[in-house]
Amino acid sequence: MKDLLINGMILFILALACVGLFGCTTVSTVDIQQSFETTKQRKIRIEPCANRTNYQGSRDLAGEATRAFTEKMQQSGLFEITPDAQLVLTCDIERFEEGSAAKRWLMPGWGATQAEVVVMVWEKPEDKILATFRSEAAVKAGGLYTIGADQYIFGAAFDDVVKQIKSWTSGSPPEK
Amino acid sequence: MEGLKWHLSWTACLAFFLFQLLLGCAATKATTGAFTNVSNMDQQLKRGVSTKTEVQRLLGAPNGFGSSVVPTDPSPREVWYYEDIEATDYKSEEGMMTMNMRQQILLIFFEKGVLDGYMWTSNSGKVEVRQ
Repeated sequence: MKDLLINGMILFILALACVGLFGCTTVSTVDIQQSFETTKQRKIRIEPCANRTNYQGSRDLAGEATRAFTEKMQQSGLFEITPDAQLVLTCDIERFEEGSAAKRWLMPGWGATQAEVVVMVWEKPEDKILATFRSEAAVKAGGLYTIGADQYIFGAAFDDVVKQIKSWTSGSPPEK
Repeated sequence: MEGLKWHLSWTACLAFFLFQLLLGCAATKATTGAFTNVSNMDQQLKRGVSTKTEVQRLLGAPNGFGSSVVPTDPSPREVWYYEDIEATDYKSEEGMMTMNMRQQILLIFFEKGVLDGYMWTSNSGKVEVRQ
């Protein structure tokens, strides 16, 4: 009985490790037009995200993404978010696939949940682009352990964007 | 009773594989990213007037940035690059896989921060692969 429990625990840990390894992945692209001036810019304005996907469902993707992005930027503590800031962050949702954990359970790779977002940093009123951050997050495997991935996929993509913004503001090269 | 279980299991397996086959034959669409319909761009953007912000609001974030100098005019122009590749009507029949593909490229030119012009091109083709 004890052996059975231990074997069960090992299997559970292995399953969790697999989800960790093959769960959510992100790929990012960074285009820096200008280095960040720490002394000049500490306040930002976040514009509502624009949904550029062909998503036909009932969800308000733009609203969800705007909330997720604002929350991630607030948590990062990098900037103060104010409505009159001269540093403006625009956000576009370029891809969204709701996916299905059941399909992933049947065959890894099938029913992937995906989201691609782009954040551009503008300096106003000059209309100058300082940097562009693109991130694609995907949950392609993990089966039923990944139920609800469509709810956290924007958060995962924006986590990656925030990580890249952090590198840019600190003057370090983009993180891999 | 065992016979019934065996029969039900095989029926379920067959139904699953038929479902997979049907999925394999269904038309699908895949794209490398969002690309705004450019057909009414002339009405929404004005040459010499529209700003970068207005272009970004209409077309989204570009896939690339650059600059150019037109031979007869030495003032440099900033260039935004948009592209997508779309694959539609993916089919696999009798050992032949066919797919319609379309690529679009859009270049937007800015002079002193305002829209100066654009160039859009599209090409399409059919890909056939014998399996």
